[in-house]
Amino acid sequence: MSETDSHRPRGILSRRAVLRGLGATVALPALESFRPTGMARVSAASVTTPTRMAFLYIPNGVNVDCWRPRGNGSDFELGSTLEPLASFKADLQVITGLAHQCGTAGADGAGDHARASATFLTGARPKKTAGDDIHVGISVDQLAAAAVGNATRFASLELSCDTSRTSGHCDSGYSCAYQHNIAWRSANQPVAPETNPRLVFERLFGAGQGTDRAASFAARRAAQKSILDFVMADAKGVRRGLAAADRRKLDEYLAGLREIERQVTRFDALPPKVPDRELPDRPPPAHSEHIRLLGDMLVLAFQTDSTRIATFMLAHDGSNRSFPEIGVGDGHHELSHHRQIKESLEKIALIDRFYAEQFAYVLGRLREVKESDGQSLLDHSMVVYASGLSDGNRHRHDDLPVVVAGRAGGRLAVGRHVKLPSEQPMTNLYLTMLDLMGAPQTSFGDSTGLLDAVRT
Amino acid sequence: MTAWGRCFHAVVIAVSAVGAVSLVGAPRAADATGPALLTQYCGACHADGGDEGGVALDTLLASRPKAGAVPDEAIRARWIAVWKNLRAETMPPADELQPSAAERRQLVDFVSRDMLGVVPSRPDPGHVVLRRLNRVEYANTVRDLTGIEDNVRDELPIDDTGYGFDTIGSVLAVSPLLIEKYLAIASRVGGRIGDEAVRAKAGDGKQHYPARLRRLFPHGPPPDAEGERGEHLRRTVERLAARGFRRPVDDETLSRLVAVAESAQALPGGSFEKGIATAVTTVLASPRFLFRFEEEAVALAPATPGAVFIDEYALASRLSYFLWSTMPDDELFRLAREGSLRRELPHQIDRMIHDRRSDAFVQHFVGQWLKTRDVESLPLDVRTILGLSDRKAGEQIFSRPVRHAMRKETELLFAHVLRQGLPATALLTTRQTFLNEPLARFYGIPGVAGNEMRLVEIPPDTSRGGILTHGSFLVVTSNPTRTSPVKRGLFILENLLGTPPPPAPPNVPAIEDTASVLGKHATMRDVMERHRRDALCASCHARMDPLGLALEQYNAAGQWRTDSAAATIDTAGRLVTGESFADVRELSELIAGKRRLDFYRCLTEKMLTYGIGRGLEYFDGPAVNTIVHQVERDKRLTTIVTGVIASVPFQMRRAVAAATPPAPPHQPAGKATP
Repeated sequence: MSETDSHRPRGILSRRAVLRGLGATVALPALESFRPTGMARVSAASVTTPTRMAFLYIPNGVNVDCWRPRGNGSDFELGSTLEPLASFKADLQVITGLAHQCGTAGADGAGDHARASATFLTGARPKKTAGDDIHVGISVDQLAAAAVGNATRFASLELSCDTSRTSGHCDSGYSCAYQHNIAWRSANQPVAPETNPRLVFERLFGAGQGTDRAASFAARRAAQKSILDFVMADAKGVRRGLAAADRRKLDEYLAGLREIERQVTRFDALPPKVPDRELPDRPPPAHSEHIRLLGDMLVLAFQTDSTRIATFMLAHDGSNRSFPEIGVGDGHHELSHHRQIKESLEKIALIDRFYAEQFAYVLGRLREVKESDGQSLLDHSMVVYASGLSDGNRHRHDDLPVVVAGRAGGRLAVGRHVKLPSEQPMTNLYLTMLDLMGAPQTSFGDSTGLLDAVRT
Repeated sequence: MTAWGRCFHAVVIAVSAVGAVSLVGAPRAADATGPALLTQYCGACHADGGDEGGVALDTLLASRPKAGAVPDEAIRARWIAVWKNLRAETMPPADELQPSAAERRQLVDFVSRDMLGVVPSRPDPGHVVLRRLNRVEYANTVRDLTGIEDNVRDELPIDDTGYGFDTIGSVLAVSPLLIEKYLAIASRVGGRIGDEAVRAKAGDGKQHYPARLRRLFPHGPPPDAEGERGEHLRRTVERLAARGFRRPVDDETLSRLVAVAESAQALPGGSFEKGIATAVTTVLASPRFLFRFEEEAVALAPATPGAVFIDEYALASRLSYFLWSTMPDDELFRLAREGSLRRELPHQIDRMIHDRRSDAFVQHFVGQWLKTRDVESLPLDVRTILGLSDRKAGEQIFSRPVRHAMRKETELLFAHVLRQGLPATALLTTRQTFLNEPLARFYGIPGVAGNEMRLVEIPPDTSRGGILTHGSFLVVTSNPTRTSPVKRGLFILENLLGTPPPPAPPNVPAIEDTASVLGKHATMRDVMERHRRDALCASCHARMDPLGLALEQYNAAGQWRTDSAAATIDTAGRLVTGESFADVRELSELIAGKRRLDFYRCLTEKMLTYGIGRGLEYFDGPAVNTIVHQVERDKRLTTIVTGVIASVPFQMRRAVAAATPPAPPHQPAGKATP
């Protein structure tokens, strides 16, 4: 009945119990042993350890003073709200001076939160519409997925902690699609994220325990195979006689079928073997626990080479979530308009720190996993942790808070504060990442060139 | 009169009887006030050499087409942009002189009628982008088609919304993840059907299908005679497909589906039941199931060259998804098959509204219009709101049952007003409401015992009555720790009066900017009045704030404040249209009285948007006006519902130009259609 998750079953497992169930203390097997047998059929590129890319979105900007690092280059100190990342200081770069000019008002007026989310990975200006002709741009993760997603069972993974949304209109005349999605398959096709860790797990590895799980996965594949022929033909049949806008909808459906067809034909039916995992039926109510469980799924997906590309919205921009876990009862969005009031700024800093702690958890999991070359999964990743706003009070879209963790296989120069001498588009960073991902582009969004400063 | 002609005649009568489609109406003479108002309010930037944003209104006015002539497309596009900006109140900008509500209406009407040539006699039904079922509709349709109850909704990603609703075709995107989910659910549901149907055979060797699966096996188990089994299978599959696709299935598709069922039947361990179960899986994965394909009524003359009536199967689906959020039932299918649905429309609408399945309409329309969906999930720091020392106590007072009852209160009141044929304005002014003990206690209303929600007469000395005093409204417009008069005022303007203020200029911080300057003893009113001294903010906040302040005596959790400071709260205010009110009751009466046409229009636009699945356009003015006039005559909330259903955009669609006509539907002899 209810649209919300208000009737969560009591007594769901604590995260700790869940981790015990997984056997987090047991050394996790290396990637190679996880690889599904079907991977053998995949190109030679998979012989070397692949590079992964992930984007974690934090909403509403930050308390800029507490975030900003002191010093420059390798001689720097993390800002106070990034202290939870202290043990990863040598694994990351803090970048200051990046901007999303397409997020600014321009001729479009109000709606900075919608634009913050929409431009985050696209670097494009969203068309201001409450529904018709939604248009922004393909996102960097989807561009990478289109180029290298073929190598893995799933081209990309989209996650979000927003299990319910407020009803009615979204930000100032923008469709909610802009505010609640950061991954865009094309300029007008957002990729909806999943919020339930259990469903993510079952999608990746099958439902049930032990050998049942593999069987359930195999059964799903077999069923998909048998349905595909019929529905492909059916879709082509109904496509005739449709108006252009309708045809586009149906083409989205066909593209989805083709993606499944790719999965079915290129990979063996059996999923990679992973330890059993007890997960709650519904997302856990505590925000930190929810983030960490989804983070676990992201790490597991990378570890098993189920995908190499992921996006994760810790919350959508404009989120008015409160943080009872850390004693902040006020809404985040409301607080972000801090008006320089000390108390509000302090609470924002608490929230920033809270998110940094969750990020540190994810990085920790990535660093625990050892790959076949002896390096960690984190070493082979590039994980962007950033917001589409800097100072939420004034909706600033420049000087964005950006952390890039991981070395992309030794190609990113970690352990530094990269203070750009002059403002550069955020998409310059993305263009560089696409390069490192083996999906080079000459330009992307509003990019003006590569951001060589982050490379070794 | 030919058969087709008679049929068309019947439709027009049926449609007119319900109310809204009026195919007569002459264009009014062009009026002179429109151009004058445009010059007055927009001229400074958009005339006399000014052409900000590439819009020079004097040039555009001069290029006005002659009556009946088709205007130039580029000029048309400009006027459509002007219409949109005027209607959304994004123009004139907030810091410029604003037209009054009446003047704005005149301007909007002038642009659509005189500059865009919108007249009731040439209806344009617009185009609804092919709608996929949203996750609520999908879950309900799976349940009603198969009889299998499976909590599939929560497996699907949350739908995006547009224009405030999750029924908007252009926004309901499709991603590979979604397709994966659809296929997984389809095979799981099919598998369950196969298992259950086969299991039912075990006992005496005879086949007894469980009651809920009988809809899938309407012709019973396969006949003993082998020669008849093929035909039996085909009839069973045909019935399934026609219901699943919500229209008769063509021969080619049917044959392919039968082949799917046959091959599953022939597998080791296969059976007739397994064959049907596989066909169910296939139907559930088909685009014909997932999307709402609509065909035009071949038997009806087009209303105009550009506008055609949708066929009765499409109409049956529009009706059932609008009022029930699910597929049509057998009766709607029967009427569509007989071609008598349009004739029977008034009766059918009545039947559907009084059917419990219309709870879905209430839940999802009201849930989004009045945001009652949110009341159970919004974060609220009750300890701070109520000034309590520990969080547990707060959660006990504002408990989950209280939140749930708040949602139900508003939904049940709407359903009551709808089903009892009460005036639409009763939503605002009624002295009745629905309560159970937890909510009554929360409100401080004595004499309600038990958890059952029931209709209650509100005691005269209690400050409740009408949706503006409902906990749901008061909570969803609050911040987690305090009330937000701005949000409350904005909600009333957006959702009840239909006159949203222009969005705040970018980079302007929230209203309470001045709170720290004034010190902590300043009242909310002091803070807001100080803020309004800024001219840029003043023009909009003068519209929002008085409305929200009228509700300041209710705290952020929706309780009546009893502290001493609350006694001195000044709730008096004035609408931007000039009418003054002393408190929330007078405000509600004002909206239900002098401003009722605004309320009717606003509610009509919301419901039309929800029902037709697209944002309203400049050419929808006549449809909206017709409904508003109708409601003004008989006042009832149901009239808005029937008006939406009878409207041009609900009954018709644009002719698909230059596209291959769809294959004619296969019409078997009198049976096996849905």
